[in-house]
Amino acid sequence: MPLQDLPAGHEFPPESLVISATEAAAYAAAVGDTSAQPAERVPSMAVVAAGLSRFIKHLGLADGTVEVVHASQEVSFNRPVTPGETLEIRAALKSNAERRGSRFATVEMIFVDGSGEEVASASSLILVNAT
Amino acid sequence: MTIQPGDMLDSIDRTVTQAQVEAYADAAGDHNPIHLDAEFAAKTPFGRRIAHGMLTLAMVSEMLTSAYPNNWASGGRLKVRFRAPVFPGETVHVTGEVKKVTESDGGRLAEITVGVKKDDGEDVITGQAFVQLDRPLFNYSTLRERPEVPEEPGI
Repeated sequence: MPLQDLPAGHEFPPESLVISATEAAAYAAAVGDTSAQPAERVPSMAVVAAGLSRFIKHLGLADGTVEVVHASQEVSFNRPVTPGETLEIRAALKSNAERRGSRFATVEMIFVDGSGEEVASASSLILVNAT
Repeated sequence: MTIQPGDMLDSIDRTVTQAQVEAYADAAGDHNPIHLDAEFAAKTPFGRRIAHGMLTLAMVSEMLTSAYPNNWASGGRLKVRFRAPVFPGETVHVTGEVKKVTESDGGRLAEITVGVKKDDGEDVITGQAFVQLDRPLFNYSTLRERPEVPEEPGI
């Protein structure tokens, strides 16, 4: 469903997220982090980046029909994520409003492990403008 | 670990390239054309392709990981604003300064001012990080057995 049709408070279906050691290494290389140890632990921000990319895609914001700008970001990490570990992403649209021709939306994500413990959370404010 | 206000974290200076932006798009699964499509980006207010904000933010997390190898990943918090885009070819400077260390029953909490600037001093990212300095280190043995997963491109 397009972003403009979703009410604030909308909850997305939970999604599974697994980041392999190879994927963690590709992420570390891409950001230029030579001190990362992707075989042992996933770079902390990679988890949030993977989750945010998914929801931007789900909302149809990555197809070139709109301009998307990342305005602010909050994250918290409770523990490292190991490569291959299965997480569940629980995401909700915290806010969604149009002001002066721009849409402001906040996506909140909680990353939960197999035992139900929260390992990380994030809140992303994005601005969407028609192109 | 002795940490006090005024302590500077080891900074990171890095030039962002278009090749890096493209590698990041694949690695993070974010193929928004504003980062990749020169023709599309030319029509935006930025006038050209920009790096992902999360790519630049990854450098802030890298700095915090280097400074606090265990405590950042276990109990770290970060709140930032993206102030300006980074264009491929630009060099960014990532810094962190301990502003405050507070003590409570739970141990010490460091508040760190973090920032990313361009060569000309323009702010790219501004914000605060919080690190619990005395939190018990994460015990990997508490994790369940690591599952076998297929190697698929992109995260």
